Parts: sequence; C-alpha cells; structure tokens
Amino acid sequence: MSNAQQPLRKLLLKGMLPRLSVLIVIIVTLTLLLTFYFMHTEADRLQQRSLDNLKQNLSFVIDDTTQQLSNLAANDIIINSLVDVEQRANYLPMFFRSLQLTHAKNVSFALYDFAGNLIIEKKWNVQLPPQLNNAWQQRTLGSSKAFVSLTKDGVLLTVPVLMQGVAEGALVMYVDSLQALLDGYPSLTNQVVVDQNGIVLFSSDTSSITPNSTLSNYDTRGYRFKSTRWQSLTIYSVKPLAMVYQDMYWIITLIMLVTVGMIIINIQMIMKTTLLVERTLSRLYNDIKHKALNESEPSVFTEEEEAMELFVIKQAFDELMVELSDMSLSNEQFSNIIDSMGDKLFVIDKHRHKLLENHSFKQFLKEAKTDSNDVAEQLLEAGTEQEAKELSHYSATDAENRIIRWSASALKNSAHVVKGTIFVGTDVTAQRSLESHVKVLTHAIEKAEVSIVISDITRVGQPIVYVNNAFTDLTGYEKHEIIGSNCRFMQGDNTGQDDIAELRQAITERKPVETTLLNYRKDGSPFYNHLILTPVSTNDTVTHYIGFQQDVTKKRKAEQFLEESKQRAEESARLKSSFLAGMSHEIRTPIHGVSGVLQLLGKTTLNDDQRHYLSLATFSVESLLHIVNDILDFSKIEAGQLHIENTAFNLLQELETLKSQYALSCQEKGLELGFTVSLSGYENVIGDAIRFRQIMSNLIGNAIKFTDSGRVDVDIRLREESKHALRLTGQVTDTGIGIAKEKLPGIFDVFTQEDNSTARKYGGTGLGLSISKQLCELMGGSVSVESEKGHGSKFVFSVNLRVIESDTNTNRQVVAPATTTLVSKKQKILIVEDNEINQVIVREQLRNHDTHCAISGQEAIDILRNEAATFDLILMDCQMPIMDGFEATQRIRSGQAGERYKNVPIIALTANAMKGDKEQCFNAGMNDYLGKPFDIDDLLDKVEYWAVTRASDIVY
Amino acid sequence: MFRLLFFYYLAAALLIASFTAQADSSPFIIGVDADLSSFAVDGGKAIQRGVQLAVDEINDNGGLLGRQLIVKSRDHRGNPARGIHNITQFASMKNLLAIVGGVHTPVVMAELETIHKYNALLLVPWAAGTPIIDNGYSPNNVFRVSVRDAEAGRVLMKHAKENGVSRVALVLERTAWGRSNDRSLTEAAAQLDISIVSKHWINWQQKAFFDEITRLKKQDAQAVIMVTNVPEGAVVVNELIRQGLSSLPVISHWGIASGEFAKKLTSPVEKLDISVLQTFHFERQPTPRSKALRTKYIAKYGSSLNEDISAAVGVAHAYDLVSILAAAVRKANSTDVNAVRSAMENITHHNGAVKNYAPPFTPDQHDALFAPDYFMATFDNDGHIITVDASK
Repeated sequence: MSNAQQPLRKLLLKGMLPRLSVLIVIIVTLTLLLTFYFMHTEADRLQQRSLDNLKQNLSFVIDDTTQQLSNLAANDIIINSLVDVEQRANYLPMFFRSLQLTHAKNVSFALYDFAGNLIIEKKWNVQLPPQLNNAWQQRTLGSSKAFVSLTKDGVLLTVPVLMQGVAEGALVMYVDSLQALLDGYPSLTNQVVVDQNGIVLFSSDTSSITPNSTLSNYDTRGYRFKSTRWQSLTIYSVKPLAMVYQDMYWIITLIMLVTVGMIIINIQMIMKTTLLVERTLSRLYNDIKHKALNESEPSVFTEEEEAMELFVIKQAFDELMVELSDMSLSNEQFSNIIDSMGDKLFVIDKHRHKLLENHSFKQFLKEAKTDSNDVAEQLLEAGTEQEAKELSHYSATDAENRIIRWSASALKNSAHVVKGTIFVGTDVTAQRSLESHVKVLTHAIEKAEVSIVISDITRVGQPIVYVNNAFTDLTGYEKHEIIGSNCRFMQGDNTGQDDIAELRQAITERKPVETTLLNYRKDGSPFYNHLILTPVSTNDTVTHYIGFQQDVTKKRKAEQFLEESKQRAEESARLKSSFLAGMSHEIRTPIHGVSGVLQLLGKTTLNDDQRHYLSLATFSVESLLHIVNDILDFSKIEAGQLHIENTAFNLLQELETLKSQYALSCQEKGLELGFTVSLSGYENVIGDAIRFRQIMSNLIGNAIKFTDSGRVDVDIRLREESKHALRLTGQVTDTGIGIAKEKLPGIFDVFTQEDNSTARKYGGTGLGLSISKQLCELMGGSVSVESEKGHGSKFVFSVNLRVIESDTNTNRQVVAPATTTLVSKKQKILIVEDNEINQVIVREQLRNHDTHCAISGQEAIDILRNEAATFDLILMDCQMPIMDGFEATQRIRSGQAGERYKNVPIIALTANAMKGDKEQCFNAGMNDYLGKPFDIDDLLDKVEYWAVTRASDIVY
Repeated sequence: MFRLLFFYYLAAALLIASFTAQADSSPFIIGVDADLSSFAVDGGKAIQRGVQLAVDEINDNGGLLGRQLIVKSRDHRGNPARGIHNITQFASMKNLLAIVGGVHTPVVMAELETIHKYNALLLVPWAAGTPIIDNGYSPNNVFRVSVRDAEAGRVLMKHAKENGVSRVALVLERTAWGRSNDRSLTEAAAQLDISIVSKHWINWQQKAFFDEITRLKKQDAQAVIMVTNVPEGAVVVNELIRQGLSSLPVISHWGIASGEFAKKLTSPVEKLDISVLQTFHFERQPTPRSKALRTKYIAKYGSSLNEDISAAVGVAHAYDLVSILAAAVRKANSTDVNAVRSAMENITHHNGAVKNYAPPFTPDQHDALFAPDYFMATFDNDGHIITVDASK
C-alpha cells in the first residue's frame, strides 16, 4: 500500500462531490423556473376567469336588461298609450310605478313620443349631454333600433316602441352609473371597466380605483393588469404582483432547505460509504493477517455496518478457517456449547444410562431434588417420545410448580441406527401465566356492557375479527354472522354519507375517530351509533382498530325534535304576516256581531250608568274597527289592490262634514280648530271622496291627538292646473308635541310613531301616516311634514282632482236618497246569512219588517220557490257554505227561484271590503252592497231605498 | 359706387319679382295626412288614391282659379304625435288648400287644436268619432264625408234588433274612438231596449283576449258589437273561434274594413257571421260619378279585381270631399280659408260618387253622411267586402 497513492475515501470524494453539486444546482434552477412559470400561468388563468365573469355580468346587466326593456316596449299598454292621448294619464302612471328591471336603485324610466318629446317618466331627473341625446334618438327613434350607452354620464338603454316595425316612441331606462348596476356582483380579482377615453366606469374596489377617474393617472407599478374588450369598452382584471408571487417566497425557502438537506445527506452518505469500505477492507486485511499468523483471535464484527459482498468474502474465509480448526475442537468446547444452552438437555442410551447432560439440566435436577433416572422414567411414561408434553415439576428453590415442555428425539449414529434418546426441556411457566392473564381479560371484555368490536385493517376488506356479547345485544347479529365481514353492513340508505367519509378518512390516516352515525340492527331497525374507534399499533404499524359502540338514538331524536321545533317556529313567523292580512277580514264578522248587538242594546231602556258603559263599549268597537281597517288598508296597499275611484263628489260638503266632526273633539280637548277653504269656484269635483276623507281624517285626527293645548289649523286650497285638472293642496298645522328632527325622515314609514313612549301614551297602529302617504301618491300627489320637537307640526299634502265636465255622467252610485222619515209599508225580507249572531242582529234591526232567514244559498232558493207570499227584498251574505251568495244570486236572476224573483232587489252583505268584491257582487247581479259592520241606519236606508225603487218599478 | 348700389337694387327687385310671378302660377297643395305604412295602410292608400283621382279630374278640367293642384302626402302611421307634427308642416306650406285626414279617430282628435291654431281646413274621409265634428271650435274648420259614430251606434244596434238580438256584448278599442262609440252605442241600446250584458276594452296591439271572451261567454250575449281596427278585430274574432263561438254574430263598426281583415282569421270568413258597417259600395251606389270613378281607378291603379277596390269607402269619400272643396273654391273665387269654409257651408247641391248631396254641409252641420246612408255589408269567400244582398 504505497503512500504515493491516495486513499479510497479521498478518491471517491474527489470524483463524486463536484458532479453532485452541479446536478443539484441544475435541478434547483429548473425547479425555480418551473415554479415561477406555473405561478404566472395560474395568475393569468385567474385573471382570465375574472374577466370572463365580468363580461358575463356586463352582458347580463346590459343585454338582458335591454331585452327586458324591449319586451316591455312591446306591451300593448305602452303601444295603446301612444294612441290614446286622451286617457293614458289614467293607467300609464300606475304601469310606470310598477317598473323594476334591475336591483340597482335610482333607475329612471321614461317614455318618449316619436319626436323625442317626453310622455311620462319615473324618477327622471336626468340631464343627458346633447350629443348623447342626439345619438339615442337617431338610433332608436330614427332607425328603430335599441341603443345602449355606457359612459361616464351613466348607463342609458333605449328601445323603440314599434308599430309595424317602425319606432313610434321610445322606452328609456337610465342609471347614473355603471357602478350602481354592477355593484354587488362577486369578483375574483379587482375589476375595472374603462371607456374609450380611459375613464373608469366601474371599479370593484372603489377604495383603490375610484369611478370616473382616469385609469392612466394611477401608478400601475406593482400590479398585474389583464384586459380584454367588451363592445366599445375595455375591461381590466387587476391583481397586485405581491399577491401573485407571495406563494413564491415560501416555495423558494422550501427548495433551498431541501437542497441544503440533500447536499448534507449526500456528503454524509459518501463519507459513510467510503468509511465503511475502508474499514471493512482494513479489517479483512487484519483478519487474514491474524489467521495467517495463527493468532487465534476471534474478530468481533458489527455486522450491520458491513457491506454484504465484503461480509460474504470474509465469511467464506472464516468458514475456511473454522473447517481448518474444527478438527482440533476439544470436548471441553462442545461441553461449553451445550452448557450455554438455556434449555435442559440430557441424553440416555437404550439402557437408560445417562450419556450426556448439560448445565441447565443439572440445575433443574438440583432444584427439583430428583435424579436423571427418575426424570427419564417420568418422561418415557408420559410418552414424550410420541409427542412433546408439558409436565409440572416442583421447584424447591421457587417453592412453586414450574411447567416444562419436554420433547424427545432418537439418538442415531452415522449409520442411522438408534442408539438412545435425546430429551430437551423448555421452561414455559411464564408463557402459561401470560396466557391465563389473557383469558381473564378476554372474559372481562366479553362480559362488558359496552359493545366492542375489533377489525383487522391489514387484511383485505378490513374484516371484523372480534366482537363481544354486548355487540350482539346491540345489533342483534351473532358472532358467527359477523366475524370476517366489514362493519359497513350495518350502514343503510339513510346513513349520513359525510359521517361515513369522515370515518374512512380517519381509518385511512390511522387516526382515532369519534362519530355518531345511523346504523341498522339485524331486524332492520335503525339506531344512532356513537362510535369511538382507536387504532392499535404493533411495532409502530397500525394493525387493528378497536371500536366502542353506544346506542345514542334517544339523544339524537331529542336533537332532531329541537331542530324541527325551531323550523316550525320560523315557518309560523312567515305565515303570521300573511295570516294578519287574512284575519283582518275574518275579524270584521265578529266585530259586526258586537257592533250590531251594541246598537240593539242602545235601543233598549238603559239607566245612565248602563248608557255610559254602552258608550265605552261602542267606542272600543269603533277603535278596534279603525285598527282593523288600517291593517286591511295597509294589506291592500301592500298587495297593490287599492284602487282610486273617480266619481263626482261635493268637496265643500265633504270638508264641512269633516269640520263639524272634528270641531267636537277639539272642543272636548279645549283646542281651537281653524278651517280655511279656498276652492276657486270648484265645489263639485271628480276624485275619490272616501280616500280623500281618509287622508284628512288621519292628519286632523293626529293633530288633535298629539296636541294638548293651543290650536289646530286646516287650510285647503284648490287651483286649476290645466284644462280639467285640479290640484288640491292641504295643510294641517298644530301646536302639539311636535316631532324630533332625527325622527322626521322615517315618520311616514310603516309602524312608526315618533318613539315607543309616544305609542304608549297615544296609542294607534302606526299605519295611519304610511297609508295617507300611499293614498296621496296614488292620487298623484304627495305628503310632507315640517316639525320641531315641542313646537308643533305642519303636514302639507296634495292630491289631483278633476273638473266635472258637463256630459260626464256621475258614476253608478247606488246609495241614494231614502230619507228615513219616509217610512214605507212593512216589507217582506229574506235574510240569507249563515252566521247565527248576524242573523239575530239583522232580524232585530229589521224588527219593523217581516223577516225570514235562510242559512245558505240553496235554502234561500228553496224558500223562495215554496213560500206562497212574495218577498220584497233579499239580503244576501256572500260567503256561505253549500252555495255562496254569488251563485245564489245568479240562479235567482236566471229564474231558478221562479219568474217573480228574476228582478227582486238583492243587497249584498259582506265582511270583505276588498275592491274586487263590490264588482263581483254587481257582476253576479246584485243591486246594492253593504260592507260589514254596518249601522242600523245604513241598513234601514238601503231597505227603504229599494222598497221605494221597487214600488216605482225602476228595477235593476 | 352709386352705380354699383343701383345694380344691386335692380337685381334684388328682379329676383323678388320673379319669385312673386312664380308663386302666382305655382300649384295649390292638397295635403294627405294618413297612415301610409302601418296597420291601416290599406285605408290610407285608398284615401290617397281618392284624393289623387279627384285632383287629376280637376287638373284635366283646367285646375282651380287657373292653377293646377298637387297632392302632398305625409305618413302619420296611426300615431297622434306624428299627426300633429304633420299638420304643423302642412300649415307652413304657402299654397296649402286643405288637408285630408286618415282612418284613425285618436289621431284626428289630437290634431284638432293644431288645425284651428293655424286656421287650416281639415277634410275627414274616414275617422268616425263624433267629437271630431262636434269639437267645440268656432269657427269649425273640420268637414267630414264619413260615418258619424253617434249615427253608427244607432245603425249597429238597429241591425242587432232586426236580427232578433236583445242581449249584446261590446268590444271597444281603448282610445278616443272606442269611447266615442261607447257613448253612442249605450244611448242607442237604451232607445231600442237592448241590454248591453258586458263591455270589453282592448288595447292597440293587444295580442290576447282569452279572459275577456271567457267572461263574455258567461254573459250569454246573442251578438258582439265590435269597434276596433283590423289587427285587434282579428284578435277578438280569432279568440271567439277558439272558444267555440264561431256562430256568434259579430256586428262590427267599419274599422275592420281598413285592411285585409279576412286573411288574418284562423277560420274561413264564410263560416263566420260577420257584418260590417259601410257607407259605400260600387255595386250598391252605381251613380254616374261612382261608375266614372271606378273606371278611372282601374285605369290608373290597374285593379284586376272588378268587384273589389280595396277599402272602396276611403276612395269614394276622399274623392267626394276634394270635389266638394273644389266646388267651394270656385264658388268663393278665392282660396282664403274663411271664404272657402263659408262656401263649403253654403253649397246647395253636389252630385257625388257616394250620393247626391243636397246640401253636403250647412253652417251647423259639418257631417255629410247619416244613418240612412249607412248599410251593413259582409265579407265574401275571398275576404272582399260585399253588400248583404249580394251575399244572399
């Protein structure tokens, strides 16, 4: 081994390290480049998706809205309105009020005629630039095409109203900014929409880029921009570079760490390899050298550190050496070997003379205080020659029995002739004791109350290998039915898939898991199984899972019950609002009952106390009715079913009535009431008298209610707006408690009083002002308030009315003259009414007439057909079982109750006060209509009126 | 310098003189303001042709006051806003004699204010609304040779009565024309003891009428009286067919005569019972002038169908109106509107195509045709209007 030559270790290091380093550098660089590339692609893809989404949103907002607008423009109401110049004002405002195409607020609509003159608008306070005005008119009115403009001035959509393919008008929608339309759509990255001039029309993050600014003014360094075109606009997806590459930092760190690790490991490996090789070679050299010099020095190897090839070489060499030295191995050495055995060994010849025994056997004889002959006798007797036997021997040393497993084999010479017997005994005492311990544990598990199941997860299908009795009790499956199959068979259709997935995931990851899932017993009954699975490891490998199972069905049922109760509660809250609307109709019927009975009571002789109590009860019923009416009105407004009548009425008379009505309440409270009226000569007008009265009553009533001292002033002015159109402006001023400034904006909202203490003190539903506001708006006007806390309030309202033209026939107003003084003769009246209380009341109210009752339409027809005397009048309830009032009326009109009743006057009595009911009554052929609850006087007036009408033979 | 100014003056004077001279011989204008491209294009064309044929005849006979007449047309497409715009344009034309209006009552109603503002004459050959003539303006610049709704109501109801009908349903378009007829039909029904069992309004361009006909069906009407134009009329009748009411008589105002009504129906017209109000038919009124008019019409517009001239009423009414106007201008010997209006009111006799007018108009009556002049017609298998006698 010359010194000029380098050692193997240095050679290897010199050859391998540079190559390894170069390789690592190349791989690291490539990995970094690839990572960068993928991140770039990913960012690009995200931005592309964001752009696609934005395009989709834009197209939805613009194209779909334009399409909807076009559909609207094809509506025959719109087309008709272009032709029906005279009366379109009656239905166009209603139509426009209901327009709603997008979720954005501040959307304006307008309808233009063919020349670009405005016909009607909604929220149109728009001042379009002239060139935009020209552009849409040229395109929509000139070329009959839809027009879309998205600029910094806002979003303008115009569509033609077509007749035979040519624009006769245009429907226009305007939103002040694209921002308003697109706000609220989710975005993956920041999104910006920019027009041709670079002005920002929309920005999803207004804090960084504000709408209407110029995009080129922003510092774009540090941002990644991706853009595309949408129609004439450019749309951008903007993402900060810091965010794009933030993932890069930890990846680089990771790669660096891995690289350093790899280098260290590699150097370590090389060093180790070279060291190993060097050491083995030098040892081999030493061994050979020793053996050759016959220095019998057994080498102590640490075999695991040696390369196999070297080891094999050395072993072969060793064997060679052993075989060489075998011959000289002494008897002592052999004795040493058998003495070193732990097992007991002794050999006898055919004559049971001992040939050989080892140290362990001798020790055994000493402990058992016996000799080898006895032992041999005992062993041969036990038949150990045939098979191994366990025998118990008393050990004097331990003072207990030791269990030894004995086996015997024949001692043969090289010619295979049996010369004796070799006995080997192994002490299995410890093993047996362990086994008995296991038995006790098994028994305990077997008798445990908790269901326990063990699966072997190393086998295919992860079969159950053990279940205890409690498992059988819980599931109904016997052990033999279940051992070998997977737990899964207890799952069924309704077992939660999420629970199963969770379970599998945990098992896959070899983690403990605790869950509750729906299982099925053998008889098919389901139960909630609370399952705790614990992995069992042997040598760091999980081989089994132990499962503890518990039936938690009852607990689970209780949880479900709670959940269902919660849902029911929510559902009932939803139902409540619709129920409220429905109930207010239903409530009218009993109120009518109470009201009627009170009226009847009032006609009896009463002392002063009773009369006072009666007035209190009457007042309460009226208040209740007022509240129900408010709720009903409000429900109608909510449902869009409140319609404004246009009939002629005497405005002056209406105001006089109001004045006298409220003068009394003012007097009672010690207030002064001032009434100023200026009608410009229009005493009779066309409008909705009832709704007008409602607004006035609400405002004056409130003023009186909230004023404790001072005065209430009412000022009414009527002026001519244009030919036939009148504008009524009213003002109700009080010196009452006033309203705090911050409460003013919400005062017309639903259920608002100034605050809760006001509600407590003054009562009321809080709907009055909201209803008044809606009514004013439905009548083409508005209502507003000025007030200061403690200094009174001033409510100003306006409504539109019309001048009566000479040829306008005053509408069908059935209720008419009938002065109660003109008492006619006794009438024969049929009351058709299913509610017993109402029957009694009406009968009592009509005591001076001859009345009969029927409880359904069918019974009414039977009575009419069979009664000899002729009825003069029928009072007909509308809602009845078996046959309702509408059908009964139609049948009577068609002669089913006899020719004599074809034209009998029929007055509808109904608790419903919805607008359509009245129409339905007249359509069914009824002559008149009375809403419940009604006054005795109203009923008597109607009966009187129709008695007189019939007498003079002006029928139907 | 002075000489140059003189030349300018001379040149200017010559220019003005030449314009004035030209104005003296330039033709008078008759304006036609009608639907020439939309839903009632057939009616509009008929009016245009009637005017043209009258103008041709006048020009062939030497013109008016020594000057020729020309026709200028403006399309209002049934849109009142366009109508008003057209009237404003006509009013600014220097040699305007009169304007002939179109089919639609709502358009004419909307134009009344503008007509009187510019003191122009409006001749109405078709639109039937009563308030077109009873318009409250004095002096009244509107003259009509056409149906008057107030009269039409009586004729339609009388036709119903004669056919044994005592319960009718009304279908009316939701415009000034529909409302004008609502009044006259209600009045006529009361007089003739006919009950109006239901009343249904239809919008222009409404496409569905299901609910209305369902409701109508329940009322057990014996006939439907219909006041609509062609597109809406077709919707109504098709819905009747769909709901199995093909045999229910439809008594229609003449709105459905202004276009190809029969072609728009889903069932052959001969299977239906449709009668339509008319004032004129070449077969029914073979006056010398109507015969001549028919010959000239076919010569000029080459109608190959002898029995049908599309919307013949429009042709005849417009022809008669322009002929009466020409007579009035000759009588007044002036084209001053006030003079011509007065002359129109005072012509005692005029032989027209529709009838012999004696007189056509008076100071109190600007309508020329009344109930006795109307008759009920129907459609033949090809969809042409024929008199009821001819169909039997």
